[in-house]
Amino acid sequence: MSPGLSSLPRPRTVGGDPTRGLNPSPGPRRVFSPDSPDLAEAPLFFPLQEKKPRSLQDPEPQGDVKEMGYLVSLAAILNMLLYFGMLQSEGNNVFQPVKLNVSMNRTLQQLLLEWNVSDDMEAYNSEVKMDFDIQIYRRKETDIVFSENYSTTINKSNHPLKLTWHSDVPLECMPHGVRIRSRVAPSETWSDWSAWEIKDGMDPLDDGSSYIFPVEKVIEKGSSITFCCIAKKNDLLTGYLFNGSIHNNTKQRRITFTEKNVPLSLFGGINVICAFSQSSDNRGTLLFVTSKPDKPKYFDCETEDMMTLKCIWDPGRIDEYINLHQNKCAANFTLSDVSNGQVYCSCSGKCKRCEFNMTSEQMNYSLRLTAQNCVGWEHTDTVVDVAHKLHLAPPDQLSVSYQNATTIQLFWNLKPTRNPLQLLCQVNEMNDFHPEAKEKEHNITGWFNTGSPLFINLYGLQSYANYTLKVRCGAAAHLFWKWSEWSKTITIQTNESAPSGKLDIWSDISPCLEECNVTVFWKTPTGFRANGNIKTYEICWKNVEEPNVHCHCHSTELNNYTISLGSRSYEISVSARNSANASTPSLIIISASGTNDLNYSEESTANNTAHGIYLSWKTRDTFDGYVIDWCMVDPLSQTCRFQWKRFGQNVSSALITSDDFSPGVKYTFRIYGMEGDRAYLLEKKVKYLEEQEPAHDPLLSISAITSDTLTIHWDSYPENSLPGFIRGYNVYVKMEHGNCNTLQEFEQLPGNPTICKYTIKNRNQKNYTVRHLKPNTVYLLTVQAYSVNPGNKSLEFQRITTQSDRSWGFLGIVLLIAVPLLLIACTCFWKSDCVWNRLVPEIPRPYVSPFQNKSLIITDNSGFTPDKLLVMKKPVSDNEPDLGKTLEHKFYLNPNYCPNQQEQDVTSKKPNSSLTPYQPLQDFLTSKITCSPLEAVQNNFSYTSQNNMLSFVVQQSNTACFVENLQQSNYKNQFPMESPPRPFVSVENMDFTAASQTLCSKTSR
Amino acid sequence: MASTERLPGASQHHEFCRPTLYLLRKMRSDASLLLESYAEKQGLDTNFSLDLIDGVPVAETECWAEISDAERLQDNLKAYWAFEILLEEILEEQRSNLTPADVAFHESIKSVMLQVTALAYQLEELMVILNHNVPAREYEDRRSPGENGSFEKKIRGLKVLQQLAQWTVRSIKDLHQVSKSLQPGTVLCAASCTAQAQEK
Repeated sequence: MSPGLSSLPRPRTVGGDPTRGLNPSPGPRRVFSPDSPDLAEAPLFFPLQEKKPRSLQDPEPQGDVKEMGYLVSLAAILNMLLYFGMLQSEGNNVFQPVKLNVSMNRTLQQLLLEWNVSDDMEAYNSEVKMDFDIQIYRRKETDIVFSENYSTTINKSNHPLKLTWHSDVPLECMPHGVRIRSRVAPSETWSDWSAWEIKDGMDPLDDGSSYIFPVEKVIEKGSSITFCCIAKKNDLLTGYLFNGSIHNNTKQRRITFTEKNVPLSLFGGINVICAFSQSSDNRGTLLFVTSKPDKPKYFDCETEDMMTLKCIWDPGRIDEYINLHQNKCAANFTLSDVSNGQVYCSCSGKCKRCEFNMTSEQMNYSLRLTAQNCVGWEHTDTVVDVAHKLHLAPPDQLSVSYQNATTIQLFWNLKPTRNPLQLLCQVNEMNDFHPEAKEKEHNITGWFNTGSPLFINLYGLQSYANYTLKVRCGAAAHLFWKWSEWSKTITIQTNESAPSGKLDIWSDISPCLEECNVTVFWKTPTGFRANGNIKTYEICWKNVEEPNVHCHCHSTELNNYTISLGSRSYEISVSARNSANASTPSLIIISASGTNDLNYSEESTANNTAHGIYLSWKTRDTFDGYVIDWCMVDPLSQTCRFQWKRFGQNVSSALITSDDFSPGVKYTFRIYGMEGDRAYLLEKKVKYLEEQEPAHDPLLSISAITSDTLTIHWDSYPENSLPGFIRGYNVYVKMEHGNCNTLQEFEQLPGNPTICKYTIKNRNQKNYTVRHLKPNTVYLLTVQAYSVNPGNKSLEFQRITTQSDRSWGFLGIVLLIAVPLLLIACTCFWKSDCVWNRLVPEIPRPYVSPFQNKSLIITDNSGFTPDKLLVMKKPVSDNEPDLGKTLEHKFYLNPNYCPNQQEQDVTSKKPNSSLTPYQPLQDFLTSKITCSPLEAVQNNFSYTSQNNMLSFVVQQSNTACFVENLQQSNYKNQFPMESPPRPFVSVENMDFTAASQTLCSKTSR
Repeated sequence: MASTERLPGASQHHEFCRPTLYLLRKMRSDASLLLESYAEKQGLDTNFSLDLIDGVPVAETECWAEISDAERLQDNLKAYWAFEILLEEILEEQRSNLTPADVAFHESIKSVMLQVTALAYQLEELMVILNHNVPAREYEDRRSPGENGSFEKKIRGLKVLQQLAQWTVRSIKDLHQVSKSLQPGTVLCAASCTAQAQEK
């Protein structure tokens, strides 16, 4: 049932025999009035309102008094007659509806029903309550599509009765029949049904054209729809097409088809086409299928000024039902009052919010958000108590009216509201100095009147600090709902004040005799606050022992100051000053003398960490604290950055940590005990963060080298350049042969048996004597200093040769030379002939001069001049040089003579053997002589052939010469096979040129 | 052909004919593709009877061979002027109601529209060269009074593209016919155009 129909007074439907109905009682007639003005969304039927002319309702009185009396009498009679007649009619219990008229509105697809009751009713000037029962069938009488009954009071003014019925199927698609019956309440007897009043929508159509119905309908997804195709006169349908599917039908003039559960259409709709026998008559239309809107979610409203109410919601899936042009079925959102239906605001499309002005009196709203499009609607309701929905706009106009070092007065404003509001505001304070508690919030409650800004005094602030402030507000107390957004921030810097806390001061006294330079250092300890910009530091000092002497003061912007003081005790004070004031002075009492009598103690790296050096000291009860100072040397500038650190009374050890500590760097620490402001030096310690081995070996010098000992000396390292404390030295000795057993104090180096090591554990020892060496032997020596991890460096040796043992060496040499010579001499003397025969076999004896029998005598030829030549009998050509024919009286045998040349000479001058004709001078003569004939002879002078075929005796000359173009490659040994050459001529293919050069070089000596 | 004496404007006609025929062949191809694409996107069958739709220039004509050159060119020119308007209506309908998100399809319609405009200009130039009267252009609403429904607009678009494709075929024949009737120089145009068509 539609909403419009539901608002009508509905009669109770009563079944039963129609003939048993009661006659309607006379009385005024009532008019049916429809509720819904929207016919598109109308219920299936509407009773239409009808106005009756006033003249029919209220007849005017007329006539004079007589006539009045007559008329009264007549009326009384008539009334009596009518009364009895009515009673008689009520006894029949039936008023038959007459004149049922049905008309069609094809545009609206409605049937308009009009009917009257029985003519007898016209006679009654009274109201009768009647019930009507109406039925509508579609296609055939058994297909009733509408059956409704309702009650009304009829009179003269509201007839004929009317009723409108909306058909969801096009009226053109099939005939509709309407009938009606009635009864007079409270009778249960119905009148007879009227005859069927039949209307067919096709009838008024032009039969010269074809049609399709409905045209461009928009329906909801999943619903059903009925179409019909109507052919023109004398034409028939052949089928229809729906969403691409073709359906062939038996040929008729009109067909009706229903599509169920239709899918969502695309943008452009679903094609529905009717096909007729004559294709030119084909007709089509579009079906748009969409969805109704989702139920809006998260529907809520709030106000920021008590004047407008803003409502927001989530519309859900809008895109799914906007699949057709917005003119056809756009979604519309309406915000209305549930109680009275007042529409506050509306919007369409993808809107998600709307707002409206509230009335000043109304504080509670019962709101309904309805999302509706052409196929349906959804709604969401909410109740808004405006007082509890205050969501203020973010505060603005933040400003500071007053401030000092510790106080800020902050003002802010709010968007005007309708009424004064009690607000809770929150001020967020962020500072730039407190790392842990950077944010702090202050709550303040107060009344806000439009135009009167709110403010808060923030006390206890830090001097000279930046505060970033922001504010948010909400309704106070039980009305609080949510905070406003934060305001924009404002940053305020508090004023300066005197520095708080004391400076941490310390001093370093240079070694001195009378006037000492005392450098006073200071720094800001934890807890010290400058409370502004420190402009200067004021340092004052005075002689404690002479209180009458005025103190001296000086201002500096640095963090240290050097003063020259005597050997007495002085009190030094330092304070920091900013633009507001100076801090409380820090005191220290020093005595320039008596602090240098302590020696430094070297300590190992035990208990050190990666960045920390461990120190410990002996505590005394008299001290109330301890101070350790040290110098952090900058590796680049080599300047000292003086450091100190304070410790409590009961502390006896500390780990001094710093990222600036480096391995291999020596640090000197001084430990002081404090008695009040007076310091006493307790200990001096030298430590490394991590000890390293010396980068370089010590410079060696070796002395006292004998045949079995030597002494090594090495230099000391520069004191401050060592990366670790020197704990000793390792002496390494390397031998090419032998082992470490010969060196008694040494031990073999693991993994290298030729290197021996001796460790000196006295770091002050700077020399060492190596003993048990071998004479005239090469040793490799080196010395390495070690710190904590000896033996890890590569060794760079120095080469030393021990002296030889002279007595035994000389004797050995004499014996080795003299004894063999003596034996040889004796043997030669004893066997001289034999030796001679061996050495000089019998020589063939050609014809020679008597001089040939002379023995060769080795003599010095320097003073000789050849006086005679012996001409051999072998024939020679005249043009041959005669150098080879000379015979010398003296023969010089040079035992050191170049054997290569000898070999050459031998091979080139072999005697004629049985295998090869011997031509003693052939090679010689064919050689290119680059020097004089005499020189050529000199080149061949020393040859002494085993065969003794040719002997030259030439005068020795120092003149050098060269033999060229000797065919060494063609050289063949010309010795007979049975006569092997002597060893000194065994090299055959030697380089002749080289041999000649060798020769020349030898002879030139 | 080589011995044929040329009229003074024959060469000009020849040069003008060639790009027009090129354009027509391109239009024939593009219009056919667009027709298929249109039918597919609108869920329509190209065999659907479109006789109901009025206001679209129809390429079919009786007594085609008896039409004078001036009338032939005027018919072509009027048709393509009408197609300019009709394609504009199709594009607007597609943008607003039928395929609002299919930009590529809209571009293809615009491309054919541009071709139609260019062809109409070339036909107009040809008529001027041939000393034919160029008809006055009328911007009449060619839609039938009852065609306000979206379905009719769909069908109308289909018919417009269908007839445009048929008109491109007819126009090629018309140009050949006009060329033949111009003696003897413009015969060269027809021969040249025919040869080019065969090369294609």
